[in-house]
Amino acid sequence: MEKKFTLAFLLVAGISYLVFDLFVSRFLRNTLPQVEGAGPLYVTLASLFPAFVIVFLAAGLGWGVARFWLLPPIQDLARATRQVRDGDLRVQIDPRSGDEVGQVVDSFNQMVVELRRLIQEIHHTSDRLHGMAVHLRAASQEVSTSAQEIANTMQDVARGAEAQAQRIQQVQGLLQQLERQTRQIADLSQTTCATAEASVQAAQGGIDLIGQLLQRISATRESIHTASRHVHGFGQRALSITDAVRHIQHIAQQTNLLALNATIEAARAGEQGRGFAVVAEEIRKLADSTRQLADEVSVLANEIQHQSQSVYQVMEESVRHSDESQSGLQSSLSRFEQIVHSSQQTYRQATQVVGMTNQQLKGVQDILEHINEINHVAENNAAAAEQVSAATEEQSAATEEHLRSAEDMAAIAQRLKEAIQKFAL
Amino acid sequence: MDVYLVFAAGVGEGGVPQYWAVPASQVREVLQKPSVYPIPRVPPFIVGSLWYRGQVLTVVDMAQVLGGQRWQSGGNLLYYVLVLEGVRMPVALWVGPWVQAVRESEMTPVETGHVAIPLMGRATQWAGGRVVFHLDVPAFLNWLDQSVVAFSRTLADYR
Repeated sequence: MEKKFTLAFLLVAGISYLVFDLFVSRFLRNTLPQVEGAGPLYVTLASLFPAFVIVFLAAGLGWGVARFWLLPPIQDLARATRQVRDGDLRVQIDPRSGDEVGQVVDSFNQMVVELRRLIQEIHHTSDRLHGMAVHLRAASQEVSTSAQEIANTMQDVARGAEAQAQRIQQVQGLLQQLERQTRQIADLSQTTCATAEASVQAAQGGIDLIGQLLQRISATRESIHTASRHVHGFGQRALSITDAVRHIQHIAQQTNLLALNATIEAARAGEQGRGFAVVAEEIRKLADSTRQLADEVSVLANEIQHQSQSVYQVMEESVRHSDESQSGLQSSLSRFEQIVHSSQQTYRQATQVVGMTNQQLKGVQDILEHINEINHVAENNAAAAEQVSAATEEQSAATEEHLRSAEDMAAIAQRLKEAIQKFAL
Repeated sequence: MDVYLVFAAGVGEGGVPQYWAVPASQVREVLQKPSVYPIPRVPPFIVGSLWYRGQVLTVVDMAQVLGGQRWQSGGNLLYYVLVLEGVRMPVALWVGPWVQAVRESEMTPVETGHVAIPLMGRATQWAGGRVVFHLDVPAFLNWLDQSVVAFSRTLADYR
């Protein structure tokens, strides 16, 4: 190509020099001085006319050369370039020659091939990019959903941790109250121990007293029983006295009857019976006195007998009361022994309760310490849960950003695919 | 010296004993709780019969005869029977649980006014104000004899 333009230039220049030198210059030098009054413009035009002709001829010659020799490969190149512009990357141009134009065509062809390969690679890459964007969007959605769930869960965890901390504080208060109550129970159990021990001693003293009282009551019962037998014998003697008095009363009645009949006999005897009447009267008075004394003795004997019977009954009643008292004291003794047994058992149980309560108190204190530690951990957990919740919120926001980026990337990939699809490969 | 046998024949209104007296000279004997055998179909004032020294005597309830209420009798209750000289044979008087010999000098007369008690001779006061009615023995024996005769006739007519 360079050679062609150089040759054409040299040809046109030579021809133009020859033409100008042989004809124009001579003509002008011969002609122009003969024209009277000719101005510079006329001279200039007259001088340039041959040049114009020469240039026109040279241009026509150049146009022909370019039109039939240089222009076809360039037209092919222009057409192929338009096809490439329209997206047809399948175009290939015949180089026609091995000159510079042919080299340009070869380069164009190689460029189109490279461009097609590049577009194909971009197409594949955009497909993969779109797929990855879709996956990334789905993953981002899942991550966003998970992050939201995690955020919700962490909020629940934070609330739960806070509630747990509150409950632990409540449990801590309850345990402190339980510690105070357990300490009170321990004190009460200690007091119960002392009371049970005092009860054992008091009941043992009561048993000793009841034993002494039983001995005294037994002795008293024997004394009363002996006195009762004596009183009963005394009442029997009084009955004998009553029988004797009854005999005396009968004798007095008979004597009185005898005196009455003696009085009657004396009265019937008249004056001769006067002295006998006096004797009969004395006998009657004696019988009457005897009867009165017998009545008094009878009354006394009856009173003695009744009182002896009453005393005997009272003593027998006392003996029964003594027996009942002995039975009652025996029952009381059994009860006291049961009280001693129960109090000893209570003492042992209270001692066990004291030991168990102390252990329980130590356990409660240990639990309280653990609860304090748990409370501290729970508070830290609550704070950490709050922090995790905030971080999760931030992560959720970032995930939303990722999702939007993935969607943007998917849209970009889609647009890239759509842009590439207009290329025919 | 007159002696009377005072006895409580029965009790009057309010449970007050009614004291009567008979002369001791007209009494043959005082018996203490003799065995008295009831007799059927006799008047109510006859308690029964009494075996007395070979004779069967009629026992008359003086409480019934003198208008008083009879002493409550019982197994061991003491009672006396006065054997009184009768018209044809002695008469036994059931007089209750109390009999005492009283001299005439121990009694003071009591004015009864116009009050008339059958078979009462007079009234005296003795031993702290006790009023003693003296039995008109002849009138009593006559009344008893007439009553027994009338009853015998009634019994004979019945038979």
